[in-house]
Amino acid sequence: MIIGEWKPIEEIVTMLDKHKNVLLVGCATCMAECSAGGEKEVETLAPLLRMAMKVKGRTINIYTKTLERQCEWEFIEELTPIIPKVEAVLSLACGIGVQAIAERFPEVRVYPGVNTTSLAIREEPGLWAVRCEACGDCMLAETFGLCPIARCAKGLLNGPCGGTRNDGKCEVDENVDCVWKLIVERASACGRIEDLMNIRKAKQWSHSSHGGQKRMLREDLRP
Amino acid sequence: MRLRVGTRLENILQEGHFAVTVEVGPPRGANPDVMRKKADLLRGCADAFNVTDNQTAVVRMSSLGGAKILLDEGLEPVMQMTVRDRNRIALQSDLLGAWALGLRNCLCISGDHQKAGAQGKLKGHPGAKNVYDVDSIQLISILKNLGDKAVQEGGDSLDEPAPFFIGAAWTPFAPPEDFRVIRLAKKIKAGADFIQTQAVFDVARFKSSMEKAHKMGLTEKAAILAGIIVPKSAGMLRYMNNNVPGVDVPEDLIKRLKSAKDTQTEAVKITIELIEAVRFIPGVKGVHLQAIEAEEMLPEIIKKAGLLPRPKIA
Amino acid sequence: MDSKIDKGKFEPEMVVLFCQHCMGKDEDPKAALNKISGLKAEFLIMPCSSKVETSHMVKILADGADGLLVVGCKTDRCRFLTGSTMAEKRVDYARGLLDEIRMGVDRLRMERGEELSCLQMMALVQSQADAVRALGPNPMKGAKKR
Repeated sequence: MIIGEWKPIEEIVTMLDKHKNVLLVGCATCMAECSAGGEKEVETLAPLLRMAMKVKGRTINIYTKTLERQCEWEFIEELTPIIPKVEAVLSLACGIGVQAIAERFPEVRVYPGVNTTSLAIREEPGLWAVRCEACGDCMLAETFGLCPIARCAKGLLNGPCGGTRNDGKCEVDENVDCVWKLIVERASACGRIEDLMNIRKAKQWSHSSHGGQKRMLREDLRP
Repeated sequence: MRLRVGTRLENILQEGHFAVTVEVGPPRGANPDVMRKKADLLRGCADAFNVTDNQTAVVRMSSLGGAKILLDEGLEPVMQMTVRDRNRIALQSDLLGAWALGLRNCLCISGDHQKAGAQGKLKGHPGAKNVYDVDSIQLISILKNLGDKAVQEGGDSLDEPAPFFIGAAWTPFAPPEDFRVIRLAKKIKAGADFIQTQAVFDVARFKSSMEKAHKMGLTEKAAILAGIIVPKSAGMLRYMNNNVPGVDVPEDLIKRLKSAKDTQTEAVKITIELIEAVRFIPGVKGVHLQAIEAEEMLPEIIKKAGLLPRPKIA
Repeated sequence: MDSKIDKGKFEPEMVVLFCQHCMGKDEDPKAALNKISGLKAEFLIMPCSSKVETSHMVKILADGADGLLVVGCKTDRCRFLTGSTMAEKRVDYARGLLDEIRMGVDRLRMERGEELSCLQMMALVQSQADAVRALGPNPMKGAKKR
C-alpha cells in the first residue's frame, strides 16, 4: 500500500490560515490502512484543527467526508454538493488523491494534510516499512525477492557496502536490516549464492520517474 | 610485463615492491596551501597518496582538485571517487577531466551515506538528495571500459581511451562476512587492479580472510593493500570498534594503548607492528596508511617500519 | 478537597471516561458528585478503557470540556488483558497532539484504579481538575452546548 503520515499540525494550520470554511476529506483505502487518512483520522483531525485555530484566536468551520478512494473519479464526485460551501479542501489522501481533487475542482484550493512517504507493507501493527520504489524495472528475480532499490539506503545492486553494522543492521538506520545481508542469507538458504556472483549492470533508470512523467497506455481498454 | 596504465603505483606493484599508500584528506575550504603543506610533509614517504572524496559526506575540496594539487607538487595521487554524489554522466565527465589533468589512479567506492556527516560534530548535509545512479562495482566497470575499449557506459565511443589504474575497497569483516570475499571477487572481475582494505587491527582474522581470497585466486589478479589506521588513543580504538562498521579492534590492543606511558610512542609502535604483521601474510602487496587528522605521524612510522626510502622506478 | 476548588479562578468542567471494572460494586460516581460542591464532572462508563479512541478524546475537548480523565484498570487487571495498556498509548498519543497545538497536555490524563470507591474516584478527578485549573478555561468553551 501507499503510506503517509500527517503533516505537522502547525504546517496545516498555516496552510489554512486564510480560510473559514474547509472540507477535510479522508480516503478509506491506503491512508486508512496506514492510519493517516481514514475516517478515524478525519474525525480526529477536524476537532484538533478547530482547537488549534481557536488557540490562535481564529475560528474555522470544517466539513468532513471520507471517500472510498480519492484516486477514482467516481468516488470524488461525492464531494460535488459540498464544494460550493467551502473555499478549500484539506485532503488526507496520498499525493494522488490530493491531485485528483485539485484536478476535479479547480475552483477551490486543495491542500495536502499528509506527507506521502512510500510504498510499504505493514510489518507489524503500528509498523510500516518500505518495499518498493516503483523503479519500473523490477529486479526482484535476481535478488531473491528482496528489493535493494527500496531497502538499501544506497540502492546498491551488487552487494552490501562496507557499512553493514556488526549486528547486520544498516549503517544509516540501526533499526533496519541491511537488505543485502538478507539477500545473501536467502541466496545461501536456496543454495544459489553463485547467482550473486554475476555483476548487475548499471540500471536503466529511464523506466522510473527519472525518465520523465510515467504514463501507461492500454489501447484494448480504451473506449 | 607491459603496464596497463603506467602509474608509479602500478610500477611498484608490478616490480614486486611492497607498496605504501597514504591517505590525504582535503581541507574544508578552498586554500590550496593546505594540500601543499601536506604534500611537503609526506613527499617521498609513499608511492601514492589517496585523496578522499567528501568523506563522511562532509563537503571538502574535491578529490579531483586536491589530487591535481598533489600532482603539481610531484606526488602521485589516487583520486577517490564515490558514487554518492554524481550520476554516470558526471562521473565519466570528471574522469575524463581528471585524466586530462594527469590523474591516473582512481579508487571507486560507494561513499558514506549523506546522513553520516550529521553524526559527528559537523552538520554535513543530511538533507541532500543522493545519487547512487551506479554502484561502486559498476563504476569499476565504467573505468575499465573507458580505458580498455574507449567506450562510455551508454555505448558511445571516446576519441581515445582514458585508462586508469583502478582501485577498489574491501571490508572483509562486515556482515555478511562470507559474502565479503565474493564481493571482492566481483570488484576484481569488474576490473579492479588494486584493493585497499578497511582498517585491520585483528591480524589473525585478516589473515583468514586473505586465505579465502588467496584460495579464490584473487591475490594473483589484484594487488591487495592492507588498510592500517594509526591508533591515536585507546578512546579512538574503542570508538572505532563500537561504531565503525567492519572494524574489529582486539580488546588487548585497546588495553595496551590505554596503559601506555606515552600514548604517541605506543601508537607508533603498534602501527609498525601491524605493518610488519600484515606484510608477511601471503597476498598482501602493500599497506594503505591512514592517520586521520595526524598525517605528521606518518613519516616517522614509515621510516621506522623500514619502508624508506621508497624504491625508484625506471 | 472542597477548599481547593474555591482557590481556583474557575471551576473546570471535567469529563471522565471510566472502565466499568475499575470501580467497586454499587459505587455510583454520579450520585457521589452531587455531594461534592464545586466539582463539575460528567461521568461516562465504558465496557473497557480500550474503547476510547483518539478521535473521542479530541472531540470531547474540542466540544469545550476543560479536562478529560480516562480511568482504566491496573495493567495486570484488565479483563481484556491489554485493554488499559492500549488506552494509555492512545492517551499518550492524544496528549502529544494537544501539546503540538499548545492546548496543554494536562487537559487529558489517564489514571488507573481497582475497586475504586466514589471518594477515591473523586480524588482522581479533583487532582486533575487542579492541573486543569492551572491551564485556565478551554478556549473552545461554548463551542457546543454541553
